[in-house]
Amino acid sequence: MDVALAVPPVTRVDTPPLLALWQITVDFAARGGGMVRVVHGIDLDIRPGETLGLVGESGSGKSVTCLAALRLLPAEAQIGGRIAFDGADIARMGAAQLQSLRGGRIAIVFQDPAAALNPTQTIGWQLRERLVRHQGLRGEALQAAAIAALARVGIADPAQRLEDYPHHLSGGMCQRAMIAMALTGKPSLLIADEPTTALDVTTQAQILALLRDLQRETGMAMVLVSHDLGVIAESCARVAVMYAGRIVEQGPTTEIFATPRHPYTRGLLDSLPRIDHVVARLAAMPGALPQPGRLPPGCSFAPRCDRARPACVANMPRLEMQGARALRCLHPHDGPPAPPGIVQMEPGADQQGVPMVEAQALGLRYAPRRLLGLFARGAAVQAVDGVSFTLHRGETLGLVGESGCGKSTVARMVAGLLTPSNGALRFAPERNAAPGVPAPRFAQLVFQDPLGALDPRQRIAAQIAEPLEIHRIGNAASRRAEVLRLLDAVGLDPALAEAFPHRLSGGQRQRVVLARALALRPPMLIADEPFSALDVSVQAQVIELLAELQAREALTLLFISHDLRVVRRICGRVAVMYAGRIVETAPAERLFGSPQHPYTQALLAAVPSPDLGARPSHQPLRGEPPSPLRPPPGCRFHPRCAMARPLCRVEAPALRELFQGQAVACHVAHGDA
Amino acid sequence: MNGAWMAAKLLRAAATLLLAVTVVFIVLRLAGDPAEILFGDNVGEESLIRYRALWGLDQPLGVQYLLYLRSLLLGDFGLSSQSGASAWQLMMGRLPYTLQLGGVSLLLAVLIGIPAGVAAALARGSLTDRVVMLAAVSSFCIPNFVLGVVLILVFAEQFGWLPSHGTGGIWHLVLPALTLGTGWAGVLARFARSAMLEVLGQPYIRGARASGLTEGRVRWRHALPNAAIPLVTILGFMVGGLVAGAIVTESIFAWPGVGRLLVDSVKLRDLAVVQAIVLMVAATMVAANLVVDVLSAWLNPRLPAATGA
Amino acid sequence: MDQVTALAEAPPRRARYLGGKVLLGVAVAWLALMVVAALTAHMIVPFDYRATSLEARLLPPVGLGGEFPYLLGTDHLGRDILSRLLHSIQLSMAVALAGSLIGAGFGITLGFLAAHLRGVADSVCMALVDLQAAMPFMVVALGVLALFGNNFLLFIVVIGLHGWERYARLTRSLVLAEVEQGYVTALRGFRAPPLLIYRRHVLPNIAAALIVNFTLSFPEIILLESGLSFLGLGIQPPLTSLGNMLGFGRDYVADAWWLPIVPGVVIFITTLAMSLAGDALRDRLDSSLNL
Ligand code: SF4
Ligand code: SF4
Repeated sequence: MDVALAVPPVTRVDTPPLLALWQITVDFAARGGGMVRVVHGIDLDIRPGETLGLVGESGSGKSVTCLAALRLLPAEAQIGGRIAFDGADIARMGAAQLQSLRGGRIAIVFQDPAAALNPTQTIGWQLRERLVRHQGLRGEALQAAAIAALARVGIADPAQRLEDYPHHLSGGMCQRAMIAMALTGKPSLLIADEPTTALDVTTQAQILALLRDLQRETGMAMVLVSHDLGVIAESCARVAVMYAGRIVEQGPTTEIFATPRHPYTRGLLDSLPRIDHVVARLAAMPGALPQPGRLPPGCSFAPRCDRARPACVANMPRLEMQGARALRCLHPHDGPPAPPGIVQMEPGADQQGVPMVEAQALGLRYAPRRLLGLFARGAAVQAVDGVSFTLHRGETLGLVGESGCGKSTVARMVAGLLTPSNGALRFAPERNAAPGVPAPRFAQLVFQDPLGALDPRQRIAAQIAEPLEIHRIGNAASRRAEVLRLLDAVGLDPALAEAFPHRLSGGQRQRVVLARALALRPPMLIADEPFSALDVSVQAQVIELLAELQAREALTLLFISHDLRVVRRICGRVAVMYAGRIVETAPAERLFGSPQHPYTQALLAAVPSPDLGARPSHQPLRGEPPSPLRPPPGCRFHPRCAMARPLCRVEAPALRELFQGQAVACHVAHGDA
Repeated sequence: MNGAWMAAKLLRAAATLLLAVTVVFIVLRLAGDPAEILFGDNVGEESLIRYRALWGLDQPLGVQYLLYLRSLLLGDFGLSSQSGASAWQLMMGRLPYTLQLGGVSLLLAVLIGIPAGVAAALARGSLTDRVVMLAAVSSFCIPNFVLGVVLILVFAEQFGWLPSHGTGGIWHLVLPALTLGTGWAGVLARFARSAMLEVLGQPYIRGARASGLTEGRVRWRHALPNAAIPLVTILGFMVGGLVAGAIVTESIFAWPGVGRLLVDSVKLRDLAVVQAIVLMVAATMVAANLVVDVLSAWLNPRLPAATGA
Repeated sequence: MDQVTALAEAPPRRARYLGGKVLLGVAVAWLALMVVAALTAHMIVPFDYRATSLEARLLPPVGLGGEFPYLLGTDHLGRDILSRLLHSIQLSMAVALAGSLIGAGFGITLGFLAAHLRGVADSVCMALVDLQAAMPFMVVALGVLALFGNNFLLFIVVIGLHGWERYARLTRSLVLAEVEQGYVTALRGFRAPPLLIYRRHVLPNIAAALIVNFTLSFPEIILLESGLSFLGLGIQPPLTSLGNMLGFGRDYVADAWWLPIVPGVVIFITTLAMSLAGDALRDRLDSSLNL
């Protein structure tokens, strides 16, 4: 397999482990007094030079386990078990020994790189501090080493960047700087705790590639913690899957991903939408992740497991070794999963009929902020520039792009929450049919953040009924009936009607938000990153629900997301945005099957996939999206484009139709792919 | 430092000051004929007319306003109705005493409050923490006028160790400074503790620990400078409010500062002096805010002031 | 961030006091006692608080050489201190409550207006807030009293002005943050009238923070009232308040120390109890808000 190129081989089992965890438990003080156990006995070995992936959804305890290994948890946390690094017991180390181990032979990088750097000191100060600590450098050697350290992690203009404060740098740059600092101690083990979760997908690909390169260069071992199966599959030779504070399955990545045996692992893989095909229906696990301290009896996964038997509820199954693999399950799957039922995504639109929304050269410009109305601070920001598209009746249009590309701004303009500063929006006549209250009954906005989307102090039923009440539709009794109908439509237990939002899980809250949006029976929904706060297993349920609602109610859907995998599952047609402009739009099958714009191609290539055949074969896209304050002239993608010509630097390409329904804004693309 | 930012801050400070002056002007005019208020009954009708002409009080309101501004700019705040002396000079004569008392108290508060708060934060949950916090909350809940009376009772009346009022040597300062400084120390201790804990909970502190920096370096080079940012704000507020804070204490200990002058003038309704002190306090506060802004920008590179953009 | 990581992160910042729950219990009991005293003072006093008695002047409290029925002794005019104390508590509490309500009402209204209107109205409101915040309140109060002389009603209004700017600023920022919440955006998407959004959704959600501010500013108002009265610029005889008792009592500190100490201790314990209870309340409300 060519896999071996990307991933170092599995180290032999008989090498002595570098880091060994035995029966690690972690307890925290609960709010109401007492202790909550969040990690229930983790056994894990990391051998020199290997890459171990630790994968799990929120609450699985994966990050806490890593922090516990380095004794980085607050003093209140109680850690049990033994942690040995190279034979030395970390739990018994004195402060000095521990300090020289941390950042020395074991280094760690965290999820939110901007927050993990001291905001009031320059990058250089912080880097030099670590170089002094771990290499004892002084004077000019110190400065030279600092510059070299930044250069090594791919930061351009390192001498300049040393003078910057963390807030001057992008998230990707901060993460590179963090990695540079982590390397100052020449570690033999690097723990990367969700190192790319806060980053955009092209930046994520860069950071993962950097970590792989550094690992190959230095031969250090790495623990990569992630909730993203794709990230793990691309980088790790061995993987441990965690659920509710325990390891449920462990083994070589290729084996685990090819034949997942634990029902949770298999469910996780099945609920992840793919970028290269669409399954008829994502196999979603029912229910939600258990909260720490409220674990069900026996196997923690039993309430969600379709293979559960009475014996599963009686006792927690033990983690049994079977060759290179370990498994915690009484009735595991055997053999590889059945091939998914792949379907073609239909554009599903009434291309001939009256369009629901027509956007023409939409633009939004934010005036510069002023102090006292006198001094302009910064320049005007052109968040969206000349965006045109047509949304047909019954169609699902996906608007994708990385953060700051302007996709949410477009959604808000279509929803009527922002007024475009240029261009025009034309709606289907029914928007204006009933004067006075047209817009809300025409389109509803559903967005991210399922917590803030509901009033914490109002009961669910009252919130769903509120739009009806505002528009004086029906009486109390009929509204009540309508609420129950809507709860049923989004698959929620009617008993939840009188609950308050905090009693609901994230997935349930997102269902309530959908129910509320549908209360006025609008023909159109605008969904802005509706799933990005949800765990994969829960996300799959809500994706399927939305797809089902869309089909059943013949909804027109404008779907905004940074996650191309989800867009692939939901959308019939897709428009890709970059730096405030649409660069490519096409039916989903074409866009994902044969992308034409260089940026679309790079974006698709950057999406990590858990399917082992689909490893990235080429270099990730370099650079970062431009600041909206100073977009480059000509084609905004040209500083990062491998195909750029001189013309690209001066002239902005217009959207040209290359194939039926596929339009591309690029001087070079000819549709010969 | 960014020039436009500085200019904007200065402009804002000037605007606040102008607003304060305007409010005082309006309130003074609302209260009635300034000549009568200022002089009361102890001058004849003739001098009132002369005074009105002198101060332009027979002119339209707009002109009066401008004249008022002009006289303030020239440092002319009117004459005390009690002594006939210049209100400005009366006030300035008392200011050194207030500064002396306030300065010593503040120093005391900083030297006790901040270390205590930081120590409590570093030993969160310990006995030290709990004792410090109880002492802090008690010390700012005990009003100056109670603490002052108790201190007089114990140290002056009971034991006769320290003078209970007036000025003189350094011993005269002890009781008033203790009275005034105790509450401030409590406030500072609480602020220092919560600022320090806030910072200690930040991911970059964990990041610093994770890279093997010594606990001392993490605390003093990473946590403390960041925790100092909110402390500067509260300190600036205290400096700006020094005169007001000292009012009660000065009255208890018969300390001849501005605060006591203010109380006496209010009792005698000596408006010129009250007006001078009110405006001086406003100016001090505005200036203190300006200093806080500059210091914060220097301490915190994230603020727009510090960035070139 | 998931719950487990949340558990592993920032420790609680609230102060914990020596004495913990016991202390809090005592504080609440004391406050209850104060409320009862304030409500029933006129019914339970053993003497008329104005009744003088030349034979029984400057008597010490019972237990310190004093005698029944003057439980806490008498003052320089032979008036019963306990009776005066109870009446003082009643008046001080009433003034502080009236003042707090005025300040809260004014500030909260202004905060909502500023947040709703934005633009110029917002700037004007905030300029006023800044101005008030820039002026130590004691000085403002003294200035107003100097100008308009002293009368009871004006005094309450002056007390009421205290802290309005904090309510206004707090309300404004809370409202601005709240209307950024998804549910308010959704409601606006439904074209819900602003008044409905504010009344039914925003106000209940920010109420907790406003109540906490109330509990924090109440002791300050008690201190302000008693401070001004202490200086002889607040409550005037024949009415009596805690500060005014203390102010007159301090002249006798050498001969009859209990005159200033009794009201002083009551003020101190009350403000302390209020602060402790306020902290505990904030703790409670915060944890109920963070999931
Ligand atoms: S032990 Fe039972 S309940 Fe648990 S995962 Fe296996 S089959 Fe499912
Ligand atoms: S127009 Fe030029 S720079 Fe832009 S994407 Fe096409 S080839 Fe690249």
